[in-house]
Amino acid sequence: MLRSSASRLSLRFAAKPAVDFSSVRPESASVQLPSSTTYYDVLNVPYDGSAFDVDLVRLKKSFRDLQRIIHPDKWSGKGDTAQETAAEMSGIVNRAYGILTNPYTRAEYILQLEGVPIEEQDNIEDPSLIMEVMETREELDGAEDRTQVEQIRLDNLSKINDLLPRLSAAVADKDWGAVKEATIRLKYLQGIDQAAQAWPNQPFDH
Amino acid sequence: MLRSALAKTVLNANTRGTRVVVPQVLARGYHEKVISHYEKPRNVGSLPKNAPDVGTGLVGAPACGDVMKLQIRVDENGIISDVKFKTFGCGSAIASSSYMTERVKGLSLEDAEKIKNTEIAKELCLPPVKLHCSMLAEDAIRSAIRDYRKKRTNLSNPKQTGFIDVSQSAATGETVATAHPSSV
Repeated sequence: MLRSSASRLSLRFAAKPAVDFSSVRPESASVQLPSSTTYYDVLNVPYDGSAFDVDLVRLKKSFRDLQRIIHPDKWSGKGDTAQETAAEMSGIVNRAYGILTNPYTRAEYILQLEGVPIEEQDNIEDPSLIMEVMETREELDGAEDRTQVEQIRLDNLSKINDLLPRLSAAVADKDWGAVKEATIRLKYLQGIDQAAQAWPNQPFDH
Repeated sequence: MLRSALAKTVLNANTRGTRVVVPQVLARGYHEKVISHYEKPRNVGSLPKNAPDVGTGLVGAPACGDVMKLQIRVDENGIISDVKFKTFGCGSAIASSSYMTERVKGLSLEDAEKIKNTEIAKELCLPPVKLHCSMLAEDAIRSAIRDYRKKRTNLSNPKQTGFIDVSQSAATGETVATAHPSSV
């Protein structure tokens, strides 16, 4: 829930202590969410630890409702502090929305919430996945026209579509090992999709 | 119908949509050495993966979705005479593998497998968040060496375990089974 008035800006997350952003000094460190507050709380959609799927319509409505109030433009002329605070809050809401709408970042976030994050050092124990990804990337790299690229992209998208229900089922079963495996596969498949979209250029994402 | 369903997934899958912007490399503070390898990667390509003198290393970084293939050709003296790589990933991963190919060419397998990721990271001035890219290059060369050695072992003891060769003639349908018992 969000309250606002001309002089005060504060944000109350569902069933959690209010976060009073107005007390944050703009020149000091950025607004920090209390550690118990999740991005689900920020957007006021439930996460009960068993559901991977989210209600995208509800998420979007919640996102728009929040941004309607806290967008920094709405706070121009009401003092630098208010405007900067609004900008930070707006940033948090953007980030929450971005993470929860993308299936990969959402899965990664759920793993983080459950205390089993994907580590940079995690080794892929499935050489066939790497081989499959390498083959598709090479195919894409050697593609000669847009039609060929589109075909690769569609084949890859149907792999993503097959994967999502599996990911969802693994979250429901709390089988975090399987969630991790599916999440990593999703990351690679999304990478292929980005490369296909960027074709004939190379994607550059990080 | 299928297409629209797929397109919808894509929209979902790509809220963090990314595009090619090379100047971003600079904006993100990559060192000029990384940029040099990124823009002009050395030894890009492939070697015949089934050739007996070629070892292939294929590795991936799950946290960022990068894949890297590094192949070595080894001469009769155990020296890496040729090396090729293909990396699909970020600038640091490309630079790390490109640098690794330059570094191992002409080395013995023993020397090549001693190369540490810290050396690559230092040479390319990789920031801490990019250290895993240099680790990937280290994994790749080790995996290529392992693959090459495995191939040589199999070649020198091809029938070590014994097997039965079964073949069926496409023309006559006749099936022939030949036993190759273990040579022990």
